[in-house]
Amino acid sequence: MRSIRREPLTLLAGAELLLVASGFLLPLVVLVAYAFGESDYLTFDVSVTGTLDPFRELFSDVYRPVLVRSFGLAAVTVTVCALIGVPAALAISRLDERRAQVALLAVVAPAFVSFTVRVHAWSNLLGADGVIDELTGQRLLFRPGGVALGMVGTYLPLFVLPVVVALGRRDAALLDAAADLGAPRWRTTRTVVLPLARPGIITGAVLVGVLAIGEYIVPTVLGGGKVLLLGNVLNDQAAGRDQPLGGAIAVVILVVVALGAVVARLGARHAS
Amino acid sequence: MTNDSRRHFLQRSAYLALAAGSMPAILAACGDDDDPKPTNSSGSTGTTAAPVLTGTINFLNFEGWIGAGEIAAFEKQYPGAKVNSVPWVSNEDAIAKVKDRTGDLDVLLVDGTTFPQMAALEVFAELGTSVPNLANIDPAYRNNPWDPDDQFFAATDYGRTGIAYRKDLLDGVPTSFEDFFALAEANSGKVIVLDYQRSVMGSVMKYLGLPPSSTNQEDIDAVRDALIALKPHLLAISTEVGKQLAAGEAVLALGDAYDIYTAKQENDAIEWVDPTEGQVAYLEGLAVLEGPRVDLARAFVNFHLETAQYADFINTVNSAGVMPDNAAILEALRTTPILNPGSEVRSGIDFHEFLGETGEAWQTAWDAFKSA
Repeated sequence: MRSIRREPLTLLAGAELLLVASGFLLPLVVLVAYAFGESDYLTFDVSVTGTLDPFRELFSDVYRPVLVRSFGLAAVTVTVCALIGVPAALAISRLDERRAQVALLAVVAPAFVSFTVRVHAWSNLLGADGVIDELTGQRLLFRPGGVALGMVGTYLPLFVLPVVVALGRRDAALLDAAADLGAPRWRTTRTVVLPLARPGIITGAVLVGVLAIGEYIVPTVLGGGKVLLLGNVLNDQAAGRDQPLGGAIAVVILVVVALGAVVARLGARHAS
Repeated sequence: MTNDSRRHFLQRSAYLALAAGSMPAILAACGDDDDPKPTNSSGSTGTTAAPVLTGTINFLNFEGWIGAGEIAAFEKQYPGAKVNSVPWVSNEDAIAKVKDRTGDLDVLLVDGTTFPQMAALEVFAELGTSVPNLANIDPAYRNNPWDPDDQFFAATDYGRTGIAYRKDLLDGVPTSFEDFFALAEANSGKVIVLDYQRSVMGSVMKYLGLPPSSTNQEDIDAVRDALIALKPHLLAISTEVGKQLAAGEAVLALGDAYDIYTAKQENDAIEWVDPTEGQVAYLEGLAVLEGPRVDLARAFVNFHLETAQYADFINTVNSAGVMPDNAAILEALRTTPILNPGSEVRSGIDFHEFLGETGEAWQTAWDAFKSA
């Protein structure tokens, strides 16, 4: 009886394994293999030779500015998301349940709109006669600052949510204890609340950072063809022109993602 | 050669074109007996089998780069035939699609810079005797270097790259690429260049007095350096040059004639300049790909080159055409110097040439400019 009931599950698991292997692992293996290959410029034929030339090309003078810009803007995006997101999450966590739900809905609501539509909305805000232009006299559209602002605007909910979740798990007695011992509010926040929020902050930072490094739509719409990020170069190369370079970019992004996951796990373990 | 800008303007002008552009085509289709008829017998080269003129052909094309009523007219002319448009993204994407999907695609729009690369893949089917409307093409656009016997390539349109500016917003009147570079510095942040490597790099080659399809590495490096020096003054490297000019975001631009002509219909303050150093241009056309629907694909190319259908195409996309005497094309399009310049300007046009392996060096230089 037991074996009969398990058989469909085994079949389902096998099918899922096959799906993952063919739909994810196989392309990943091809992608990584291409990163160590050479491409014929005219025929687009790729031969995997074990060369490191695609990585040398990626770190050459031609693409180094893109690498620096991608990691720089990702760092700025994470930092600004943290500066806005952590206080916002703290504020939400201090609200009563009903108000907190409304506030969370306000944070998440933009995510119900298509990502591309949101980015195009930002182009209106950042362009001539947009809100930013009206308030500051600065046009940020087609500039690195505009791309960073667009990424902050679109990724902020991804930062706020994990921090809110982390703070939601805190033991209220800890805050009471800090207050009973005479700790002022800022000290309670620094020494009690923020350490409790750390797993959420790390998760949010990794989520935003990983997405920002490989971002394609935001620089395409808000960068005006001038502010290229790795995602744009990857898209150009993936069209077939230089798939080994595209593979090398994908490998670099994968390594960063993996490192981010390790950091997040270590951070969460340390915090707990 | 830029899909996005074409798409953008085509979307905006679609209604106008549908109303005005297709009218001559409709009228011509109603009663112009002098027009060549579409070839109903394919006459497939070297075969005696009856041509198959039903089924669905897949047409790799710039989105909207076709007459407003053309596909419907073709499907009416050939009952049982359908045309499925596959969007073109870039030359590289087109090559990759053709390479990977031989047998899936049937007709594609291709230019002289990409044609030889695809020809090397041996994907083209001969046009043969099934496209008698090739005769409607002006001899100036036939027997091109990449297809000297007109075996595979049927020219459809061309476009040159020049300077455009807002006469109400720019302090100065550019007449040359030298003026463009000088004014770019004075109007920093309000200058836009087309996001198409061959057009922009070829124009800068002209500016520097170099052969516009040079394969000399020093020439390519010089162009790269000039572009990188220009970049801080650019608002954008975009496929929406005309749109940015019309909106007043940009006051000076390097763009394609069809795009600027279309934008000028929206904002008459936009002016077009044929630089004194001369210009570069693309010539593009249709080619049939080997596959199971080759007869229908040839019939489609022939249909596109009918004078009435061709006029619908030009009237819709606002491009310079290859049938200058086609009376069904709107007079405004036939007479505007933006699309149809005089002989003096024409003598200064260099069509893009196939670069071979050197194309990689051009691409690297372009990438360095865009990455900087």
